[in-house]
Amino acid sequence: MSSESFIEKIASQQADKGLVSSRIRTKIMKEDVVLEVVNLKKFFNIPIPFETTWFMLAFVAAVVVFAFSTTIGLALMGGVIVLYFLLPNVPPFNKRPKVAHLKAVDGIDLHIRKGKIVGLVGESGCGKSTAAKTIIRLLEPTAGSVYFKGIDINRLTSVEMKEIRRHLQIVFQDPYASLNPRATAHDIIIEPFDIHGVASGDEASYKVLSLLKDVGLAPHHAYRYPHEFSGGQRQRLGIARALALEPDFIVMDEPVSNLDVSVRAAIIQLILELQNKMGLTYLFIAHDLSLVKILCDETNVMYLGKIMESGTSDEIFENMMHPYTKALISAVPIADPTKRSKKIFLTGDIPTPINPPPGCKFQTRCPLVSDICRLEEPPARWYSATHVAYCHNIEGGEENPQVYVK
Amino acid sequence: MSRPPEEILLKINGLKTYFFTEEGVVKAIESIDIVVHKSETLGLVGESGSGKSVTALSILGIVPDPPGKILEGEVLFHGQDLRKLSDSEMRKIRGNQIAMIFQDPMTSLNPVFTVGDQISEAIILHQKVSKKEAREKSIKIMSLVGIPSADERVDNYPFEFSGGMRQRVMIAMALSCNPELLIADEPSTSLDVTIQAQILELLKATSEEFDMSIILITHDMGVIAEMCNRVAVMYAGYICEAGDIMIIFKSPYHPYTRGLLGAIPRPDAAREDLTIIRGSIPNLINPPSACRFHPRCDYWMDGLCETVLPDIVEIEPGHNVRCHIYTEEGKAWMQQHGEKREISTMPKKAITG
Ligand SMILES: Nc1ncnc2c1ncn2[C@@H]1O[C@H](COP(=O)(O)OP(=O)(O)OP(=O)(O)O)[C@@H](O)[C@H]1O
Ligand SMILES: Nc1ncnc2c1ncn2[C@@H]1O[C@H](COP(=O)(O)OP(=O)(O)OP(=O)(O)O)[C@@H](O)[C@H]1O
Ligand code: SF4
Ligand code: SF4
Ligand SMILES: [Mg+2]
Ligand SMILES: [Mg+2]
Repeated sequence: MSSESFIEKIASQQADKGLVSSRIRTKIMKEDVVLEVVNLKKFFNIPIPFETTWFMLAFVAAVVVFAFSTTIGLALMGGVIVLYFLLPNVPPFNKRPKVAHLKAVDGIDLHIRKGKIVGLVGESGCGKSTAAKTIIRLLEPTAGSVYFKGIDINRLTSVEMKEIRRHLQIVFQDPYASLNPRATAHDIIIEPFDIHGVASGDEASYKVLSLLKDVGLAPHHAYRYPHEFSGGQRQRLGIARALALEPDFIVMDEPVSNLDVSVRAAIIQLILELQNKMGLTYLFIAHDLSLVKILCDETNVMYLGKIMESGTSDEIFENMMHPYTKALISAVPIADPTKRSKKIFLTGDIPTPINPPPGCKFQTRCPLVSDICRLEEPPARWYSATHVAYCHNIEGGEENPQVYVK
Repeated sequence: MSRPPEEILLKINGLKTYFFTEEGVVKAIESIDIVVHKSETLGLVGESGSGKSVTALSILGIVPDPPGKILEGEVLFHGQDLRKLSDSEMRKIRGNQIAMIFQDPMTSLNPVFTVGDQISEAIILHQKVSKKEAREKSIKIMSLVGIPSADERVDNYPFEFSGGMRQRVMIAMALSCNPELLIADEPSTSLDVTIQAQILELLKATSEEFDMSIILITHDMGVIAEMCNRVAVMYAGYICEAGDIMIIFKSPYHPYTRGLLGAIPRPDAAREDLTIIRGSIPNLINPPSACRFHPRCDYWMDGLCETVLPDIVEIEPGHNVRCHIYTEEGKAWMQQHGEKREISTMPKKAITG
């Protein structure tokens, strides 16, 4: 059975069972949506190790007030010197380490149409990579759904998922860590063919060579190991591998962030070429906003696990509404000395994603913060059918995007 | 932006620094000439491995030896050659008159001492003040670099600070002795843009307030455009072009500068305007001969560029280029071969003004 009809079959099966709402199905079909992400959450459970906390207290030599039976205490009360030697493993306390939730992704929506390059931007640690991995089901979400061409991928069996996985590929943030160091480029690219039984023998080897050529590597590179490549070449290798099964959709997680300018531009050209040639759809993760501005059709701005604002790149870069987007874009250094821009400086600390404050995630640094921001999640304000920002204190906009649909 | 004043603070002539390693001699810096005027910010830009950090270390005389060695050149600070100074004289200059912020802030702060102790130590090392005065000075300088409630945070350890705050502490230490020249090696590269903007603003403000000159090392052309009066572009151990940023961003003369500017997204530019520099950065153990850029250059003059190192040509006062397109030899070559070499202009849309 061809892949397309396989996707259709599963999609209609799921629809018949009522697993995918008809509203979402119609939307996906009408707008040719490749990927629809609804309220996705991914929490990590972090054990809080008590013993370390205790040990630290001793180390910092703070005034320790309590002496527990488990600590070997030496108290010279007369000389007012109090010394506690705390054992790194204090039995009753490390039995059940307390668990905290790190909300890496806390309810994001994405809407990715065929042939588009959709940007996901935000500062380090805001959850971009976690979102990317959850979207292609390398991580199971804590809540929320991901529809790929109308299929709820989190309801697929592992056999079905394997078939679908061909169409959902990722180029990882760190190409070095994600490529097997003991396999040659040839072996790395041929592996997906083996896994999916797509091609073998000479045919597969021929395909490998043509993929290498597609990404601008030479045939003699096929027998090199990852460490024998430069950063830019390794990134190409990761792209070649992701392309091997002719996917529809590729997540590019910071594909150029660690590369030098001249190499970076070459990879960007490659991404654009492949989009033209194969009609690929991309989710492009980056923190270089100047690049996202010219490369992406649409842009999503993320902060501490949440989308703050989404829209077409023009809407985000020319007509941003959210205070965080404004600060972020104003902070980007512009490579034109005649255009030194006025910056918005953010004060305040960035909260940890472990037990973040209630209400708006941006409250600790926001210049517009008010009382309600500390209590309630900000509502959506729609400025066009595609442009939405989540904030209590911005002007204009509509509560419902339907207003803009004729 | 005001014109850079003309008083020269630092002048480097023909600096050459090699590393003698087991794999071979790394010809990291072949010939560097730099001028830094009083109270100006000079950007030193180039791709990874082009020799930016080694240039900085060479100025301060702290190139790790072995394997590194400064082989030739002068480093004139107020007209005095720093390379001729004794170790103890040089130590006095470092930290007092010239300070440096290193590329990796975490490795240059000691994790077991409080931030305040470390700043105080830097102050006491260079100034005759008591411990108490040094502590007060530390608090003052910490609030100056924008660390909130500095009088409390002075007793914190580095791990209790965020990356951006640690970077500020580094800057506070560097500024604690009112240096005349600050060398900042990628002071904001690993930081998020919102934090980067604060750090750069801080540098700008201190430079203006204290008349301090800065050599700002970065590979980000955006940072250069926002911060600097002049820029020096490095490629594989040479300065290929140096001059006023307004001129260089508008009409670069060197093929590599042109390539570098074409390869970055500029405001108003379109996807199609992004151009690439083919090939890759050379291995400095066995670098290309003469003009080290020649294997990647679209303007290469066969027979000339790979055999004769182009001299520095002064296009106009303060704007220098090292490329045969502007040398007498190059002009002769063009005449002889009946070919013209002219740098293509930047896309119109990208530059206005
Ligand atoms: N496996 C994990 N276990 C626990 N916490 C994790 C795990 N992976 C990521 N995190 C945490 O989740 C948050 C989001 O991480 P993520 O890697 O998604 O960020 P990012 O936006 O991709 O950042 P960067 O730009 O630095 O790549 C961070 O606070 C991170 O420490
Ligand atoms: N201690 C050393 N031993 C041997 N080679 C070195 C040493 N330090 C630097 N080099 C070499 O000198 C060259 C220039 O290095 P340098 O650190 O100045 O580059 P850079 O321009 O600062 O790059 P980056 O942007 O990556 O910081 C490189 O080829 C590097 O490998
Ligand atoms: S909801 Fe409040 S805190 Fe959040 S961005 Fe809007 S104004 Fe700022
Ligand atoms: S000297 Fe020749 S090879 Fe070098 S940059 Fe100029 S034209 Fe290109
Ligand atoms: Mg990431
Ligand atoms: Mg460096």
